[in-house]
Amino acid sequence: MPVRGGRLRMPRIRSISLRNFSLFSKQPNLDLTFGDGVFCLAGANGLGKSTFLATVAYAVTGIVPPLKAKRGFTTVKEYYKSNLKSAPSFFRGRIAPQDMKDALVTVEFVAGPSAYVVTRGFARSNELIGLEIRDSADCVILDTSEWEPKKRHSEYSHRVAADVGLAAFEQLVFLEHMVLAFDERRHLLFWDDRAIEQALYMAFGVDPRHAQAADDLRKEISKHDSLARSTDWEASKLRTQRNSIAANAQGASEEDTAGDALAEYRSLSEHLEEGQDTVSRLLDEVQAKELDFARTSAEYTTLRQEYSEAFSALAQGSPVLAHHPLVRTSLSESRCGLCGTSDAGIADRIRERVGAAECPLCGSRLHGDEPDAKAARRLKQIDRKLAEVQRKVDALGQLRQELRGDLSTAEEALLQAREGLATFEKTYGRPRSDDDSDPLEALLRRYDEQIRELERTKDRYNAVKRQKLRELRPLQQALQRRYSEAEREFVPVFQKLASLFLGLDLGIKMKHREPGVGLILTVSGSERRQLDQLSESQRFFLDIALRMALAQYFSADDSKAQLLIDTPEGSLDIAYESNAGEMLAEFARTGHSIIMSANINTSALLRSLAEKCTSRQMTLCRMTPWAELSEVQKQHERDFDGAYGRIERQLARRRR
Amino acid sequence: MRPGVNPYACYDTLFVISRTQQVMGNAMAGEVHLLAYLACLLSMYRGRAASDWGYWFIRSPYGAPYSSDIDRAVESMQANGWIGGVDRHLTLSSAGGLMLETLSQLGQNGPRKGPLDAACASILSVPMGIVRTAVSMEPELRNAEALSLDRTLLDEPEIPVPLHDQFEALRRALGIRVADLMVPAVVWLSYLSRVAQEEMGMQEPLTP
Amino acid sequence: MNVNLDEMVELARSQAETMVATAFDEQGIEALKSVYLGVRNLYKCHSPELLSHPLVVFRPVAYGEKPIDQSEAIRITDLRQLRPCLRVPCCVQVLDSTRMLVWSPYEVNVSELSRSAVVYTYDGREEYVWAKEDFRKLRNPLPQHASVLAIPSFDSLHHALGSYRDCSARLCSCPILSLVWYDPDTRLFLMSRPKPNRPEDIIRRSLYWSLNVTLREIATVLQEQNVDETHPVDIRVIYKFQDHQALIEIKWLGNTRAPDGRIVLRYGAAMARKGARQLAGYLDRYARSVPNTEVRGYLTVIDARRRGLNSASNSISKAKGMHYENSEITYAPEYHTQRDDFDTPMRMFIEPVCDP
Repeated sequence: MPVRGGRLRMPRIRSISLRNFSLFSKQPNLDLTFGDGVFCLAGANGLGKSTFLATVAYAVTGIVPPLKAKRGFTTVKEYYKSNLKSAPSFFRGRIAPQDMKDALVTVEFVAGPSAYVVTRGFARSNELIGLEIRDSADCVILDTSEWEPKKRHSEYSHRVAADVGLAAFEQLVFLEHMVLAFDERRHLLFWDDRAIEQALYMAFGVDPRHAQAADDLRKEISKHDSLARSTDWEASKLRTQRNSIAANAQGASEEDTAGDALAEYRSLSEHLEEGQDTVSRLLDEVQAKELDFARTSAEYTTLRQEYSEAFSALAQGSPVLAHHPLVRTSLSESRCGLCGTSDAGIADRIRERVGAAECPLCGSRLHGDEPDAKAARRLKQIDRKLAEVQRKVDALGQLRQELRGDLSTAEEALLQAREGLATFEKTYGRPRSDDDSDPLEALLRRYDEQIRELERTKDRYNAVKRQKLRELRPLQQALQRRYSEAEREFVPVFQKLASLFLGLDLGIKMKHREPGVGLILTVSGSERRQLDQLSESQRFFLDIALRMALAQYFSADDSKAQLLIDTPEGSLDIAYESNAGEMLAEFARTGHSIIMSANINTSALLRSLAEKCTSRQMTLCRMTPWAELSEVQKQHERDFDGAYGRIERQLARRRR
Repeated sequence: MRPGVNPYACYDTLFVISRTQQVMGNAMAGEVHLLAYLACLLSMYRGRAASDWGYWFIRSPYGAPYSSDIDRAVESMQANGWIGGVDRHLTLSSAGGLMLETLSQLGQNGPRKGPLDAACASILSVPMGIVRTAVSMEPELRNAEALSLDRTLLDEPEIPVPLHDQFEALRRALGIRVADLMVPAVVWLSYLSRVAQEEMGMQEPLTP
Repeated sequence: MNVNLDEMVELARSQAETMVATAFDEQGIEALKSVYLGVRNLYKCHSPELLSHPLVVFRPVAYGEKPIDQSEAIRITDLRQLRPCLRVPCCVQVLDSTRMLVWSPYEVNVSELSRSAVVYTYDGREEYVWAKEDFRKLRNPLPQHASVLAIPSFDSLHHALGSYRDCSARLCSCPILSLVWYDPDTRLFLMSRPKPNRPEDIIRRSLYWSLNVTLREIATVLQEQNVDETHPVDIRVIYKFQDHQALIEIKWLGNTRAPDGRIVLRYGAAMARKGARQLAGYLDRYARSVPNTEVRGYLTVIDARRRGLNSASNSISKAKGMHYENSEITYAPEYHTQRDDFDTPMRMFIEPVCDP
């Protein structure tokens, strides 16, 4: 099914060259080309497969995708900034010191209308040793041979982002690392709300600047929230100290009857104290009303249950006699359902009694078609109670709302009182009494000033945070709108891939989670946030399926995506390994390509992949010749050769 | 009647059968689900949350919208004799009619009457097939059907953005606030039906 | 799906309900509901097809209002009693769904009446609702039926097809179907056009739309559904809450003509038999792919055969035009007698417009 909506033209790597890359001790100079379909680098443990893929990503972005960081993903800009200097230390352990200066990686790729040849060293991330850009007619459009490395990198980052269709280079790095590259040691996209939200903006948003705006706003919200909390904690600490000092002191400071300035100062201070008392009181009231509201809501819920039970009782007490099973059977068979007597007249007799609203068994008078009066009364009683409690709930809800409004006003007034006092102190200085010999009073005043200042600062941070949240809301609504339109194209793509692997009826749904949005996986219609029945390896492949679906969706039709996959090493049973191969093959069949690494031991996956791909669609690259094998590995070299051979023969069979 | 039958679903079922019976002679089970769902949507148009409706609807592979509560209500009330009829044609018995009257007096059912009445009134001038086609274009249901995904409909705490957009447009298009929901119901159904026709490749004018 | 606000505004403006609400508020809507229900019940007893005179049905908005002197009205408690009244222009006030007041014969000033009442008028398949001297036309999604308030509904597909045969196909009353002709004034030849406007495409759309509107208790009607990778059946009906589906195969018989006048195709009874074989094949394939679902096949044959047509034909005598009117097609094998899942094929003859 053709996937519309794609407008991004992510880099599609054609070749990579390594020079003096000492990790691959037997082949430090490598040249590899990547065609369409699957390029699979297969090797034993520890040969450097993950390093190879990390180097490919580094070549394009200048950053090595970090392993699981303690902090987790926050914003796109933050991700870029905090990992900018990661590469040198990563490669230092992998390239011998004597080779570091001369080690190079050159990558050729197409992005949008342009073809890039980018050469980097491994010592500095934001410098390019070489940069060449050609247009679609293969003419050089930028000659940077005389440029400084930093300038080359700067120019590269602007141009490639524009060619791809993104607003900033950081976004390209995010997509390359977090969506188009998979490594089990890093965060899973599906279960990382912040990262998936950014991915959704870029995949489904109309304008990449919206994604950037949302990213900036999230960063600001996060920052101001953090600042407000730490300021609050500071103020709290000071308050504790101040109260402790005041409690230990004996007597209060005497009324200072000095001049007008002092009187005004005292008035402002009192005003402030009143404000604090009001806020404190209102906070208590709000809390109390919350409790009342919760209690009354619980009463309402209980009454609803009673209503249901009373309704059932009404229904049970009001059967239409003709429909009683005994009566029905008796009528249809002309045989008494109780004593078994068979008689042509039985049906008529029963009908006569039922018609006369008389029980055919005991002769009691019945209420006919009308509902059971007693049960109806009880139901009405509960209905009235429900209406009353509903009114209480509504009234409490209203009151709660009003109190919150009052609290907000009081907090505003408190802020103004604090500012008034601060302005006074700024203009006049802090008035001192004639007898300024009370050091305790002075100390307490200094504490108070600092606390007030901190609280003012906290209020300002919270105000900014609230403002940013308000600005973020329309962007989120726009994203939800776009997702709703795109869902019918995007979800089937994911479903197809995921069900190839897992064989379950899977779906995904966008969910609103304050303050952002995320994705929920559904299995046969029910939501599974945790998916605890799935193994870790199964979760990894689902995450790969999601990335594939996103990549398929956001890639322009004339510019298919390319995924870097470091195949999970963990245990999948053979059936799932085979399914995983099918899933990867399906992705490649749709015109997208994969550069992947796989352990030669995960042969069921590779065999399945080779089976589904032709040799035109899959290239197997043996990694064992690149580096020294361990002693144990050398002993099993034959087994490796055997495993390679089986897969190569599978590919050759497909060619025929 | 089985314990645990949802009283709101029972009321809605009796109401819808009663009104549909007046127009078409009887009601079919699928029509009860359909019109109850439309009523729920109309109550959301008025500003109430879907969770206030009292029970949920899903998209299932056997038809949508579907509510298991309505299904149980129909089954229970057939066993109880409040609903009669043959095959899948449902009618209200006289006992069912009396029960509907009793339940209509309850405050709990007060807020539902307007939306139910409007949903049922729409079939007076809009053929049932058009109502069905139009409701299938409601954004939540439409996406669920297109994806063949079994999912609960309208289960988020806030009204879904696409539905909210449609209701906002409807309010602006009407320009007047009419207490009777039949007016927005019929306009909305006509609009959704047009969208459906365009998608089906049926170009206007179908009317002379 | 982006909302087209302009379209919604246009629909709101043109809808009778909006007009009535603007004119009379809630009371007006209540009156409108009564009028609609009254008219629907009236049409159940007296088909609007047979009305030869304008019909006016109204309900006053305010309780107790009497816009027309009731002393000359006839009180009706059984709608069948209306029959003689409807033979002349008359005016009906709805009291409730089965009781009415009738003034007959009576010519009423509708505009004036609408100052205090919601009024419905029917005249020659055109229907309007009036309120406070303003009016709106009622839209009919199936104009082959005389009134939107009298569109039939069926839970049996067989009956729905029968209704299509009688109301839409016979006199080619369906506006979609009417686009199939090379010569719409005489209906001798079907027009030869490429996809998606070949005769079979237009016929399928016409039948599909009719079924979509008139069938009850279905989940959905779908056009051109793949039974397997290569064989689409024309229409598939999926029933709601039942594991039951219907496959409809459509064949047309007759002659097509290209815009340049060439006769392109001549399909006779053999095409119908081919359709029967195809449908039997689809049913077998479908049964294999969804073994637990009950599937029934319906062969619908649109018969536009005329006798003695050639490239010079631009009119036809009654004898030749109606030659195939009752010419039923024999099938061998008779799938409908041999299989449980094959409904009796339904032939729908479309009458040409013959010379007087």
